[in-house]
Amino acid sequence: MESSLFISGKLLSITTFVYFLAMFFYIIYVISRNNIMGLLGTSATLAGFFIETGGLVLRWVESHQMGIGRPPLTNLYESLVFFAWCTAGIYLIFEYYYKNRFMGAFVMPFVSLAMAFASFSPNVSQEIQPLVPALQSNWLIYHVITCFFAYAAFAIAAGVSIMYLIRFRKEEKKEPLGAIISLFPSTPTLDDINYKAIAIGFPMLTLGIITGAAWANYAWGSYWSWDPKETWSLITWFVYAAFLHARFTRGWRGTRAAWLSIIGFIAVIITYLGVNLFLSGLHSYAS
Amino acid sequence: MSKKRFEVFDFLASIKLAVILLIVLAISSIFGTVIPQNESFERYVQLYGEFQARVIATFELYDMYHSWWFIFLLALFTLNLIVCSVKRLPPVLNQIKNPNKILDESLEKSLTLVDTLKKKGDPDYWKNAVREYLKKKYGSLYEEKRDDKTYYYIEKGKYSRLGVYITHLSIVIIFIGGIIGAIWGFRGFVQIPEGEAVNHVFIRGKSQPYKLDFILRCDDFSLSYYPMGMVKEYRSDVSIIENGQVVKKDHLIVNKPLTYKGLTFYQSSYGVIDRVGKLVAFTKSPNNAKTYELTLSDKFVNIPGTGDYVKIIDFYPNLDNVGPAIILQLAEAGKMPVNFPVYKNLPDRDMYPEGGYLFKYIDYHETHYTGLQVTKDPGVWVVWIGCILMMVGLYVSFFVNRKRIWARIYFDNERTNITIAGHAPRSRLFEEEFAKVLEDLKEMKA
Ligand code: HEM
Repeated sequence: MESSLFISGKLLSITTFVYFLAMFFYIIYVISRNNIMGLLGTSATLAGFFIETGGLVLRWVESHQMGIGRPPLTNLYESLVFFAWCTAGIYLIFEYYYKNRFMGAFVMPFVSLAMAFASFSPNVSQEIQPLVPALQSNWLIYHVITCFFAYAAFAIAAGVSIMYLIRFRKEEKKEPLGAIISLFPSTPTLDDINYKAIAIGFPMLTLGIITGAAWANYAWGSYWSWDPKETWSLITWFVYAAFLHARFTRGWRGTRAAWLSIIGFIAVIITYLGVNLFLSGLHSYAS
Repeated sequence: MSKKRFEVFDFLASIKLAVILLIVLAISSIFGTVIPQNESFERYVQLYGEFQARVIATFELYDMYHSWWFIFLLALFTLNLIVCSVKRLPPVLNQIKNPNKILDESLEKSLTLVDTLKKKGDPDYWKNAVREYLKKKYGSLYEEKRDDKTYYYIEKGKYSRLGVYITHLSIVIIFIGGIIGAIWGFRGFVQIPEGEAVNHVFIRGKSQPYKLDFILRCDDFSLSYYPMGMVKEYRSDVSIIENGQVVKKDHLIVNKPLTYKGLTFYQSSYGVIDRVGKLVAFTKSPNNAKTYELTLSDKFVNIPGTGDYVKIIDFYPNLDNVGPAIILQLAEAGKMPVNFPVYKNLPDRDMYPEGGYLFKYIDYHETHYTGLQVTKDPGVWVVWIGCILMMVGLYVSFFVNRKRIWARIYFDNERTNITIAGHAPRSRLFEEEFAKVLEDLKEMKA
């Protein structure tokens, strides 16, 4: 049963389109500095977020109608959609709080690409499938939500870190910042947002790892078995722990912290996609 | 000598070492996700070649996360954590107990949020006004008069600095839980045919079975399916028997284990022991019309009076979306054996038209054994306590903001000098809050 037969599938396709639109508005805004473009970017993101919320809820309802009711968080497609949802949501909060739309051009590409990958990749099935016995657990919901909340926060941190590095390079060389970069938040502010996002993401990732361990213990009798996905989540956790401690060490702030944040996000992507697509283990969504 | 010892101590206590160790742990952990774990030496030779296989053996990369060097890194990391925390905790506790409540000149210089207002009028009036304002906004406050100056001090979230130490302690506790499990716990498995009972389980890597002090019986194993034929549930109904009496009846499914006397049983696999299928076979040849009622299993059965044999190979609860089907293998005399399905719901469908018989599905039944994983882990509670502590610690260190406000009031040069200072390293919002306090005080008139 292709999900495009369902309304939820339609809504989620529209979401993909709207997020791409938002990304382009933000990019045009960064280039043109036309405030209307920025406003359009925010509006599109907000609209996409609401349509996506509807799509996710409907998908849940539709799975009940099919007689296999289960939360829309259980396969690669749904997790990508959920990642996009979290990132867009958290981004909107940061935009509101820091009153700066430039981050949109650096964060929305992650969101749009996640949706595009979910929608168009032949490796990603959109079907609403029933849950295999191992996945029938409430821990699944807690585990997925906390992990993806964390991933979303890390995506924002990585976007901001890229901005930091661009602006810092220029400032260091005492080059003129140019029209675009001068509108980025200042480097201390970017550093601050980076830290704040990771300060949200790190406890969430920790909770995600703990709920995952609790679930594994419940389903398989072992809270930790060094399966590739578990190990990569731990690697990710080490990198962000290093980030948090780097702040207390002179010579590790600023640029190196920004790099750690970007490396951390690469580890997130490997944890999330790489392990499923290339390594085997308990977590591969495929099968 | 003692200087050297201090250097070692400082190095072990440094955050720099912590950052380096975290990065080294992160990078080294990658190996075990790329190199398949727990394979034989021959397999590694096959995969990577002779020399690389030797390297893998030397560095124990075949079981990397239990290798001597990885354990050593973890131990060093724990030592770093403990030494660092032990070194830093006492001064922090001291500051929590005896905070710097008096806004003197050196403190004032170290703070960025400071401002002084000069007000006309009676200092006692202003002392009162500032005290009441701060009290209303923040609740209780500390007051002290020294020389001719009055000092106020407010502190919120003073325990937030303990969050880091709770987090660090929790890591040590989780390690302890893991070590307890590794020493006193084990993982085993057992297979029980339906209707049978066992009083032992097998431990991986040990030839001696582990004796249970009770008997575990599998009363039934069953599979249930979704409408489209995927497995929905594996379920074992079990009884626990002690002294010849059933003391507990329960069922296990994936995600619902059974714990009894410190052992936990998990549904982990199953297998088919016996298949019994009742079918009717009709000969197709019109000049030899015969009907055979057959009871088949997974061993060849002779079709009476012929040289033909048939057996059951497999069974699907929902094949091709038309319901149950038995897969038969028919070996007719002088022909190659052929496999084909017999559908319950399509009695006239002939999936082997060249064969001499048409089969009809009457009934099918399997007996199973259930495969249970068994674990004993007395450390698991320690690990959970560590996890809870870790979340508490992280919450306290990231979401409880410490903020402090000082005030100093004295009369000088016909004016009442009011100096206000604030400090909240984690909170950007505090700057706005502090600005608001200043503005409110500025607007006050005697
Ligand atoms: C994976 C293991 C570790 C975790 C999860 C962890 C967690 C944390 C967290 C959450 C903070 C607060 C960070 C912030 O406020 O931005 C922190 C601070 C700190 N950690 Fe760790 N830590 C770990 C390992 C270590 C180790 C091995 C050391 C050894 C030196 C260490 C030393 C410190 C110090 C000195 C601070 C700063 C305390 C302060 O605020 O003055 N940590 N740690």
